[in-house]
Order: sequence, then structure tokens, then C-alpha cells
Amino acid sequence: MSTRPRLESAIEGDPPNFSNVMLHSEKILQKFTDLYAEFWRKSAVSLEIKEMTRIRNARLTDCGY
Amino acid sequence: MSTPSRSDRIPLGEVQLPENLLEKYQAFLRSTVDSNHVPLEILLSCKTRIRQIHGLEEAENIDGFDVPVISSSADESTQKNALVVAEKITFDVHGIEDVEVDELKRLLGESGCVQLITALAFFDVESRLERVLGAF
Repeated sequence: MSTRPRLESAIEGDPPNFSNVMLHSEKILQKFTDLYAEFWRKSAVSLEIKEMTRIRNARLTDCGY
Repeated sequence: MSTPSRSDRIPLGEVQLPENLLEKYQAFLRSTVDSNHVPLEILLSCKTRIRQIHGLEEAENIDGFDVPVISSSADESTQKNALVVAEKITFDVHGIEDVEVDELKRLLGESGCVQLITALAFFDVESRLERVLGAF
């Protein structure tokens, strides 16, 4: 388990978070953002079910979401 | 748990994943492989290892997996470290230690580390999808 942020922010002076760490590889961040937006925008699965599974998954993996 | 044969594998598009979602999913996966911060051979060896852990590819050599040929000692060291994290990300993600990520960061830089960890996470996702849906 991580005891500290393992990667630095790509934006100098900013505390590391998911987006600014991923920004080290701008192309991957862009494609991930495109995918994630599409995933949440519309689908056969309701937003409530998606959110519930996201929270459940976060708890099981101890990610603190 | 049996290993699906290649002829049994179904493209994700045929299991009715919406076209836009499929297109963006594939574009994202491509970006994790072709971002050029990590040698392709290292990514492929990690992908092979993750697929073997999920029972999607046969382990054929004495170490339990086949690895593509690595051309330099620096890449060989990176590959060894990457494979350790590849195995842990699949079934022991909390067991990944700071020192293991620090070493990858030293060998690949921050950009390479982001590319590698993202690629490993989604090799695992792809394997899980294939295992559950029977589609790739």
C-alpha cells in the first residue's frame, strides 16, 4: 500500500491528483477523458447503478473514493 | 477454469458495445501502448504475463511465461521491475511497494511510469472483460 504520493504532479507546485499525474502522458489522459465521458454520458445502465458500483468497487479496493 | 481457444474469442463490437464507446475504448487502449515512453517489448511481456495469470494464455517455458527478446541490459532491468508490478497489479495491488514504483520511475521517468501503470491496469481490465464476457 502506498505510504505517500508515488508520482509528482505534472503541474509544478500543485499537489498530485489523478488528473495532474496522468498529465505526464497527455495523450493517455486525453483518450481516457474521452472514454470516461462517453461511459458516463449514456448507456443501457442507469447512472444510479454505475455510481453504486463505483462506490462499492472503491470500498473493496480501499481507494478512499 | 478452462483457457478459451482463440477461435472462441469474440470481438467486443459483436457483443453490442455501443459504437462510440467501443471506438473510444479502443483509442484509449492504443494510447497506452503507443505513447512511446515505454519499450513495446516490455509492454508486450507484461501483457502476456497478465493474460497468463488470468488463464487466457498458456505458460510455455520453465519460468511460467514467455517474454519477448529485450535488446539492452537497461531494458532488461526495466522489464524485470515492470513484470513484478504487472503480477501484483493483477492479484495483489495493495502489495505494490513504494520502492518498486520508485525504481520504475528512475528507469522510465514520470511519463513512462504513468504509461506503464495505466497500460498494466488496462491489460488487467481487458483480461477480466475477456474472462467474463468471452469477448476481447
